[in-house]
Amino acid sequence: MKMVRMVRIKNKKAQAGELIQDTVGLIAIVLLLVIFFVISTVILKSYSKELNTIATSQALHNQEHTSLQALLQKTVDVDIDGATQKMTIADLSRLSKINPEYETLLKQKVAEAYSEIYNYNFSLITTKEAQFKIRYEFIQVGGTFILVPIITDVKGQQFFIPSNETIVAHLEVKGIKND
Amino acid sequence: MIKLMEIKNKKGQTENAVIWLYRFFILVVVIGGTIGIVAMHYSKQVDVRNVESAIVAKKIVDCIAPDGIVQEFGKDMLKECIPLDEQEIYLNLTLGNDNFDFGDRLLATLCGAKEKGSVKYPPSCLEQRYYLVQNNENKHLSLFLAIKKIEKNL
Repeated sequence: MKMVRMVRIKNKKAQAGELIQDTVGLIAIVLLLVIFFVISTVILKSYSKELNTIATSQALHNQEHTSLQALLQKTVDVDIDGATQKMTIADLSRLSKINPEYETLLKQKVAEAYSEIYNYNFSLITTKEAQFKIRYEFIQVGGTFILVPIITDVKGQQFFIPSNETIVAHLEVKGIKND
Repeated sequence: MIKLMEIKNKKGQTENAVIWLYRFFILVVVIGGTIGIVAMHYSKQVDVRNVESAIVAKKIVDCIAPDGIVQEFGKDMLKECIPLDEQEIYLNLTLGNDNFDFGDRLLATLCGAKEKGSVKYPPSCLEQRYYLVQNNENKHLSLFLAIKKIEKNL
């Protein structure tokens, strides 16, 4: 009888040990689930913020792109050696690179186009100045992560104007003026 | 003696059953919790209306002025060019002295209220200004776009 009781007590102790082990496991799992929940919420919140940033910069880029493209195609009258010639703003940009006297006219034409609607910065830069810097970032896509190249340090829009020395027309809209 | 052993065995079986019930409960918590959190993560809606409005605005401008040169400006041309849901969108376009609008005007009012912070589920609002060329003359296009689509995004 004594032997049976001792075995029962030992069995109970073993069962209690298992019970404690299971309970600790349960607590650990619940904690993990809570951590996953918090991470999920944080990720989704940061998604929304990132999407808003992308949308704002994309909307601005669209305006810069279309506005610069339109300007470069506009034809203007340019006085060259006493004779008036018609040429596009893109050609005037080339001309102003060859002869800096035409820079004032170019600036004036750009101001006529943009000063009413934008606070802007227009400049003609070289290809070297227009080079992009690329960084790589892991981005979550569905259930996996992919390595994506992201262009950084680029503000504004750029159009390459072909000539002997490639010229880049650069427009950066710093603010939009209201009606 | 045999009767005593039988009673003890029955007690042991009951204790084992309780432990296994407890383990089953743990299993349910683990599987249920994992499914619940994964389902919650993937079912949460992300508001993409700001991105959508930037894309739609670009398409509209490309319609009116491909490459920045104005081809045509009017409501009919826009309807042919891009399908827009009148119930979910409001668009107001001004090019020089010409103006037209399209869609639900209430959204414009809601955009005004959104700035004051008095709307619980506000639409996405976008205002843009473009420089365009029409018949070799400078033109400024003002675009106002509001997208509702609350059920799909919020």
